[in-house]
Amino acid sequence: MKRLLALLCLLAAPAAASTDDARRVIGEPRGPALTGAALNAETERVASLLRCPVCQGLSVADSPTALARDMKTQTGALLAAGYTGEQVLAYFEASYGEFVRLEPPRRGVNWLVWTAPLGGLILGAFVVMRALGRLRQPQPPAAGTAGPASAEEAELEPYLRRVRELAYGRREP
Amino acid sequence: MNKTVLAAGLAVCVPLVAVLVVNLDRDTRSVTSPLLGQPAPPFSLVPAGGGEAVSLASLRGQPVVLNFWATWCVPCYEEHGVLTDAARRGGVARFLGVVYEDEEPRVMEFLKKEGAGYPSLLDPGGRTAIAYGVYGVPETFFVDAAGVVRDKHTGPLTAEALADRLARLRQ
Repeated sequence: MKRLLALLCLLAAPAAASTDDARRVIGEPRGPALTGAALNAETERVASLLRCPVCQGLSVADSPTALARDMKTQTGALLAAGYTGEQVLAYFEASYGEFVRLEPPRRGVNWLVWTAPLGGLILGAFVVMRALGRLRQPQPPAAGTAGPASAEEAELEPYLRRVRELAYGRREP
Repeated sequence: MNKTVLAAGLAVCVPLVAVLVVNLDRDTRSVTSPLLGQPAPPFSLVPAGGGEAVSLASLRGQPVVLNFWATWCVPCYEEHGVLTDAARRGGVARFLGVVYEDEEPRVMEFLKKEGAGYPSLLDPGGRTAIAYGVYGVPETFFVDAAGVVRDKHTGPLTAEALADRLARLRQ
């Protein structure tokens, strides 16, 4: 029994150590302490929002590297201690910077990243609608198509007709 | 209409090109650490080969050079000589190594072969490396006497770079 207790203490020690530093950085846990399947699911979700620092565009959940594995372990320990997903992300952000978040947090200038695509879509739809509207309007009979538009063209018209006759043969009007 | 299109095009392209030009000569590997100017994350770690745990708090009052390294990291070999020389010469700063994602027997073999001028601490679970936001090895943090992170060097340190950083740490 004593041995079992000692073993449990040994197992618990690293977890306590890993949350000590978190307490210094992000304060007290603000969520329920997770266990079992809920803990696993939340660990997976939070890890998928963390960028693996040593990979190219991979999340901590997807990366097989030792650092990503350690980060995932720590994510699980923090969630088990009652820290919320957002707190866990903030903890890693304190040491790695905003770069560690795969999704830019919705604040400040980052809002542009979230709203600009939607804005672009709306603007594009507006431009397309206007263009379509213009196409649908009945075209007013343009002056230029009926007869010679300018004096210069009127002057050239007989010559043009002659060239066409030579090229394509005489046509009945 | 053409002028409107031109203005809209410029409004989109000019800022994009400006961002590209401004960041053209930026080294993508040198991500500035958010820890600069912040209190150094505390730790208490056991050195490779056993012995008393070394804590950062116990070194308060003197600057600390904290070097994250591993035996599988080739640039670390060269840097190890630079750091060991500097530590043996003595001076104001204390040197500490933190072993990153490596195993103790390999570390001991490395230190036996290359020499050890300062303790190399084991970091189970990489918690200290994560607390310092280590991307890869080697990375070196310069902590001042008050325990504040003053500087960070990514990649192997040359003797000149180390001397330069130490001089700045003393200021």
